[in-house]
Amino acid sequence: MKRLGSWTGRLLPLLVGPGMLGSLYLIFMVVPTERVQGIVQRIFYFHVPAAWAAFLGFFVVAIASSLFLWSGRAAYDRVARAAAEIGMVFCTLVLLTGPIWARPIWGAWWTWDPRLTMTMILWTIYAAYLLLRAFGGAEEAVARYAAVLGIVGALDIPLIMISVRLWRGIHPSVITARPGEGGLADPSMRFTLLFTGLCFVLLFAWMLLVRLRALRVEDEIEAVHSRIHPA
Amino acid sequence: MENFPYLFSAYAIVWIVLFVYLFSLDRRGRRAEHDLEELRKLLRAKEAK
Repeated sequence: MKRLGSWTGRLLPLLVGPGMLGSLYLIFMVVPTERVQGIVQRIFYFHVPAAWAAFLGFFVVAIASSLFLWSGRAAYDRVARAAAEIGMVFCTLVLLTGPIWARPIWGAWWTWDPRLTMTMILWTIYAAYLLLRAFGGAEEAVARYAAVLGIVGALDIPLIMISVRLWRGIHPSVITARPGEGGLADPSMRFTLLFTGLCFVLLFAWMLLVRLRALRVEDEIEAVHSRIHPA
Repeated sequence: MENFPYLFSAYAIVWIVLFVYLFSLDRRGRRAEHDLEELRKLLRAKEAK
């Protein structure tokens, strides 16, 4: 398992680096400029994949937290902690790039649209999760409370996905748009979005491996500490 | 090129956040490995006594 981790740890940056450059080439040199929104629509090609990576991160938190609660194995807890942190990085990118797109298109940096509000709630839940992990101490009870929070937080993700249809928000529906509702009309737009999405997922996987390695070392330090200074 | 500053800001923010986070990941990993090595030395010294 360790060998697999080091092998993928070496391969992933080799895929992510050229992949991200390829994404930029597609976004700025290949896809046509959207007729209504103009060049600012190109923000979507990073905004949407960042949302996918954030959702993937929080989904991993929920799965790993469930496995931790079920088995009590620290390795699952480490995966949840690492995925929550990286999910938060991507969720922060979503909440930063969204308003930059919204200002010229909606005329406002922020509106309390259902999807925006639910995304802000998601960010707040996992901010609470990370604060709990940072300041709650190393006891197993804290890890268990955090695991429950990690699972509950992920329940917000399906609500974000369906919020545009459920509450008739103004946020565009890029992927699930029906014919005549907008979305990405040109095939190169769809390809670019999917390609960039794949690059973001690979970037997420690479970050997860790097963070997991550091967390494993931090746990080893804790174990060595307890051997030097037994309680 | 209307709204170019918005497009530029969005992409600049994404790259800055990603690079800062990757840099912090690398720094934390190196520091943890350094701390572990120091502790191992301490432990070996303690057990040799």
